[in-house]
Amino acid sequence: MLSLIKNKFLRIPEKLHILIIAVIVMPLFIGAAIFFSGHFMTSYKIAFITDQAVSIPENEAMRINKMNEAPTASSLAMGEYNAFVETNKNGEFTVTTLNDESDKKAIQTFFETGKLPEINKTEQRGTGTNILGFVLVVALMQGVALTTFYPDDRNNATFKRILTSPAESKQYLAAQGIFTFIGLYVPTFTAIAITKIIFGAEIGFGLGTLAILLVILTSLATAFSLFMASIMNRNISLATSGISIVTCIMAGCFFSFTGDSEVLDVISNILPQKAFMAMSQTVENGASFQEFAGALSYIFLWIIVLGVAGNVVTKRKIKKGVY
Amino acid sequence: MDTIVSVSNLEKSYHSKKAVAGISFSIQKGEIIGLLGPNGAGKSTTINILATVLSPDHGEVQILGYDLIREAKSIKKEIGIVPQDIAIFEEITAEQNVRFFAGLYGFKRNKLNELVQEALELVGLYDKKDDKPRTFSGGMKRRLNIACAIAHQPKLIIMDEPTVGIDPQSRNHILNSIKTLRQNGATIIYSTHYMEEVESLSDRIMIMNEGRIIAEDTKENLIQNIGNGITYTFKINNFNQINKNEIFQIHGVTNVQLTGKDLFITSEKNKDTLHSIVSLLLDNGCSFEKMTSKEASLETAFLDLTGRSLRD
Repeated sequence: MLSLIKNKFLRIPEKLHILIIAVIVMPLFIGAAIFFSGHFMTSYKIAFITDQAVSIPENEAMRINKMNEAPTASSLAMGEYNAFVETNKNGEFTVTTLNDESDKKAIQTFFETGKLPEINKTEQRGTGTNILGFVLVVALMQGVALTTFYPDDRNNATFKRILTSPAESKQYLAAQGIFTFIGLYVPTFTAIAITKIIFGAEIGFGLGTLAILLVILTSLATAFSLFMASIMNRNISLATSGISIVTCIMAGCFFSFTGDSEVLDVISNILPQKAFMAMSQTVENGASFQEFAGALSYIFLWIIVLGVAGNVVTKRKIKKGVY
Repeated sequence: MDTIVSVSNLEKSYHSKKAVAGISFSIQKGEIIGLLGPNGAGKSTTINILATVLSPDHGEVQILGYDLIREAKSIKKEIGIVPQDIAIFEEITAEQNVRFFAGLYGFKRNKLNELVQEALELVGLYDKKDDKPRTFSGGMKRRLNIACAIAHQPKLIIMDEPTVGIDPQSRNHILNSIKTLRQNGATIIYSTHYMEEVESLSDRIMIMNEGRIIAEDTKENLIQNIGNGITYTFKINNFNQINKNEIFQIHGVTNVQLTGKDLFITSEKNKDTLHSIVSLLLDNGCSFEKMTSKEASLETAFLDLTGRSLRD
């Protein structure tokens, strides 16, 4: 097993593009994610259309431009404004927005009462969860790049040659998994830890908690990449990137996502990324282990299923003479 | 003599096609067995089964006394496979390649160092040990391919066309290495398309065709029993005008094969059949560009048995 792992490390310097992504691009990307997470506080840009003298309370979450005429509707679509608020003769406020109902209500409440409604703390997404959401997307895509030796070895017949030795396919996959895990975990943890310790960035977690969450995250990315590399022969990276991005968007890794479609909700609830984001959020909000034990078990189940499925597919292919 | 390989009624099918159709053979300790056969004869399937990377459908295989199915792990420790493909890592040095593959057999560091050096010296690559294979010629890569298979000193070495597409110097080096391996006590199964290699190396020759072993003997006996005669080769322009059976009826003709435009007719050595054959062809309106004759050899024996030349 040690020989199999060492072999990957000896070969990685020749895969310069993977090395650069792992050691330079990924940490930079993570650093950027941390930086921008600090600017994630939700704020609404409002076009307040009124010809009356109305006093509006100030709030850092509300950036209000007062005007006499409504801007064009496209300014909502283009994101120039999140909402138009108009007053009628009775002093009532009408909110027009493309955001969801909860945002509409929040803006309405703010204009009527001068206060934003309390957000349920457990539903509030913190900086740490936002960071891990970005890291998860990157790790899922980078995982398959680090697993490239497995399809390479199949194509170059070295995998078949290894199988003629006492080493078994499951040992090979385990070695590949350990290599991918290390290649994902070390740069990721180092980048976040350096950003926290040296630059004093707020990352939402202590280093210990972060270390554990990253073990779960990179294990999931490793199992996924091994599975994809086992079932596919060509265009593995392309397929994996596509699946990763779509499922991560659905799972809300980039931003909190609630679809209007029940079908989409059901699908996104099946995704392990969704469980990871929920768990991360729960952990960041300081909840007890019992509160995220279910999500944790669900993620572990996915890791085991993906790992076992990859092994089974590989064994079946070998039995058919496909190495 | 100890039996190293014992195969009985071995079968393997892909979908409905039988790649190996119930073959049986045995190999004794220290033998070099030449495995010959045209493409699709079932050689590679047989080799993959013996190499433990492909399960047979039926039959029994024992290697060094271990059952192929139940004791595959014990077999793997004792065999070395030189694959047809050059299965080496281009990104690491020659020494690291050999060290990696030998390392899979669990040797301690000092022993491993010794084995790696011996293997590289045997194939003549020790002075290139720190170079990466991407800088090697095709022949050097083939030699490294062999070093990776033999470093752990296997008792049975299976070589699947180890000299394909290489220069004469590397071929000679490989053939000499194989002879050295045999002197050191290894048993070798050698599959190739090069008749002269089989002739120079093998103690016995197995000829496979359409999944079966159609002949198995020493080179001398094969030629004596099968290829004893003269083979005439005609480059025919319009063979359709003659029936093969008419040629067979000529006294002394033992075999008639047509491959493309080449008509091969084997005749008993001391019979004067050539005149009758040419007359028959001309009488039937067949024209031919040229005619050559060849005395009995392994190649003509192979042709007699399979109806195809080895490189078909």
